[in-house]
Amino acid sequence: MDKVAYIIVEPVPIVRWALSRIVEEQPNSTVDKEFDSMHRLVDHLQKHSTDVTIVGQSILLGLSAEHLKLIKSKSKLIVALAENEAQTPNPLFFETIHQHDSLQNIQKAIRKATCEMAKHKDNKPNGSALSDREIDILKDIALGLSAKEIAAKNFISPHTVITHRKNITKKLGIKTTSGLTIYAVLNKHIRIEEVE
Amino acid sequence: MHIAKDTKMGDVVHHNHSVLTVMLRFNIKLGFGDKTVDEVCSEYNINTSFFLEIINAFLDPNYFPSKHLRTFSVNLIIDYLLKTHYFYLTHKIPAIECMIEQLIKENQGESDLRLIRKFFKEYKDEFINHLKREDEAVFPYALRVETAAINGLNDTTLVKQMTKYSMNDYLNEHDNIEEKLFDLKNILIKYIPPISNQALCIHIIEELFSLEKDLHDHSRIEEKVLGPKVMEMEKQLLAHT
Ligand SMILES: [Fe+2]
Ligand SMILES: [Fe+2]
Repeated sequence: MDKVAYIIVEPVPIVRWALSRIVEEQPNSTVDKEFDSMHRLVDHLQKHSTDVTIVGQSILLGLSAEHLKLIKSKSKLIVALAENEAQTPNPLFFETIHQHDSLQNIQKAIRKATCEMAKHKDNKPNGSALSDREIDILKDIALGLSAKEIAAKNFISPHTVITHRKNITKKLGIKTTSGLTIYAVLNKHIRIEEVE
Repeated sequence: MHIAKDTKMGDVVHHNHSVLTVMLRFNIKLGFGDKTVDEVCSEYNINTSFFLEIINAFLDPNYFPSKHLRTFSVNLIIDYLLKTHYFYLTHKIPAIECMIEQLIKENQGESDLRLIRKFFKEYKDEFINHLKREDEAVFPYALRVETAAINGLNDTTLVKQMTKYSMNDYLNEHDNIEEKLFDLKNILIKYIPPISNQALCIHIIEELFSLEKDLHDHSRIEEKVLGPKVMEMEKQLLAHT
């Protein structure tokens, strides 16, 4: 499974560094990007999305509704780093951590966010076995047929062939045709003589 | 830890021994005693600050002061890129190739493993083409641009070239040669039949990871340092014509 990707936005370098360090140390979690200001984050989110965004406290204080909406739409979870417990937790935040929290609590919060994301990821057709239909398509790909030929042979549209291929790649973690061929042979879907 | 010029070269290696391959590219030989980075570099006539930037970027993917790296000459950057190509061709690729050969030899019964050799052979061909194109076309072009930027534009064919095929075109078509390695890694990790010599398999996987990381660092220098630097020069040269 792909790691859960985090974005951190926090102006104070040492806090940003510490957060990034903590995230990287948790299983299945990785920091994708770090930003020191909201406008840098906005620039990035115009084009990209992420799993979890951690929003630092001073950013949090000046956060406009519009920006919050953007973060919400481009990241699946938000973790807030609040100044103290008195700050009312926003229901839009999956977790709110505090500067004075113990390290263990912060680590726990990150792990919880990662687990939550991992659940979402597992729901997708990812890591599960290939369907019979997909195995048929895989064989054809391995034999070197083009998308057009596979479509005609199986009475489906080339577009559907491409969708199948995408799903196969996602499930197996193999992108190239020669890689898929090896997989098909090693799993006895086709014989090596057919491709050599 | 960031390496500084007064760090002892030995400590650099103790910190992360994968830098040894970078030293190899600079032709630095082992046995540096208690000498500092600066001392070793001057002994070998290496630009210390350039060496430090390369080493630090190699060690820490977040340490990428591409702006700073861009202050070095195209000549110096390309020299390092060429040395890296040479290192891949003479060390990395043959090492993996040799282990795959052994894997097949040890497992004659598993004839399907031959496909792994075929896969790697295809990869190697693509890889060599990629490097060759850079060595023979892209880098010489970049050097011509730098020469013109220093000595003035008295090369009319260069203007033509700049408008026909520029650095921007190179960057656009610069493909990701790590991608196929990812497939091979995954096949070995997830789908290979249970052969007895696991140590050999692990060794291959480690080499693939290491090549992948190295290539990533390498492409980053090509795309984020060399590319923008040359494009900047092209812009200035074209503005003067
Ligand atoms: Fe290269
Ligand atoms: Fe390249």
